[in-house]
Amino acid sequence: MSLLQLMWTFFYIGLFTIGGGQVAITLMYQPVVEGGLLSADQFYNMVAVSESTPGPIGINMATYIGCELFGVIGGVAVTFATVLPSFVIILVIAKFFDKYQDKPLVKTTFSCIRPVSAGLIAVAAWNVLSISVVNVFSPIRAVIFAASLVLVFAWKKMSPILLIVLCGIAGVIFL
Amino acid sequence: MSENPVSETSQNQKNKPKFVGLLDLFFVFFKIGAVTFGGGLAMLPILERELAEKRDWVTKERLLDYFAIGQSTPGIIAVNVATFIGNTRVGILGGFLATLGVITPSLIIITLIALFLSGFNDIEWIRKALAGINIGVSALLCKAVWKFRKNVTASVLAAILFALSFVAVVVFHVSTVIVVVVSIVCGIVTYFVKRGKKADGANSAQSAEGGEK
Repeated sequence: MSLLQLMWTFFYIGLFTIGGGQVAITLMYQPVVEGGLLSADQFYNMVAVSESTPGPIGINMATYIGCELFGVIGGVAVTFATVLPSFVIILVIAKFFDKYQDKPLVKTTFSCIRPVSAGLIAVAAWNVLSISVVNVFSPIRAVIFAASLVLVFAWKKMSPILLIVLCGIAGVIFL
Repeated sequence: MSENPVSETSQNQKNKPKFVGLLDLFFVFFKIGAVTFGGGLAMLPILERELAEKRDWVTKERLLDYFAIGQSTPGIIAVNVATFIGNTRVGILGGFLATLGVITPSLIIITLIALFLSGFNDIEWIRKALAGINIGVSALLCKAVWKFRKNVTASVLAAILFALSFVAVVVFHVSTVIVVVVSIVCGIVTYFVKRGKKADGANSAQSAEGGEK
């Protein structure tokens, strides 16, 4: 597969990823592993790295695969190809959103979307909590979680970035 | 870091030299991309802090709308939200720079790992740090849900939608896209039901739904 073909493939993946990184990974598996570009082992190793480095998982995967197959330029090119469809789509949506956001129909609709959006954040919270505390329960994890909660709720000015750094340090020391 | 508070930024945003505004946009999203662990939604607390609290670029409610849109349209959620906010603030160039900002840390970090550090995930202290970070991220997300409680308690319908969406995804593994689409349909139906009521009861019905905002 040439770089252009790979970019085209990831353009498609960007276009059909609806609902986030996990979906993107599912879509990548077929062309990349079944297409014989990488072994399943390599692929899942990349997934693990993408999940454990900062940045959107889908973007990390695109960069990783592009870089692995075609070097630095490949990584950049494949990432841009992945982003392009959503970039264009969002530009179009943003245009309409600005125009219609104050219409009663749109307002009412968003009054129903917001609680669901909050529900999905609750889902994300639950998922992360499951893998980091509930499923691998240990007293020290519970303590770190409780301490984080206290910090986050009691101290209004608590910066999320600072909390992430602190928890990372706590992990290295205690886990 | 010491970006000055809300009051003046909100008013003078448009008068700011464009170049500075664009650079700022890029670096805010760069920062967000660099500290977001664990997918698009984990980005929300940081976005809230950087964009709604520190800079007053968007309201929290608007952010939630962007996430709903980002989640139900094609593409990586984080990128969708970046494009949306950048474009709304400064136009297409802003959308481009915000997007570039959010993906640049990935490009740099992953490229370095791919080139030099194939055993990244086997490094003991990195694994431990990540385990700790995940715990922190879940606390941040709990706080994010709490911050949006007003949207959930706005009406009985809203509370039901919140609970249903959580159960649908966690227990029944319904796709989040379907959940968002159902909520859109629900909103449209609510609108027409309300309008129907209004037409029936003429003026008197208005008081019944005055509580929208």
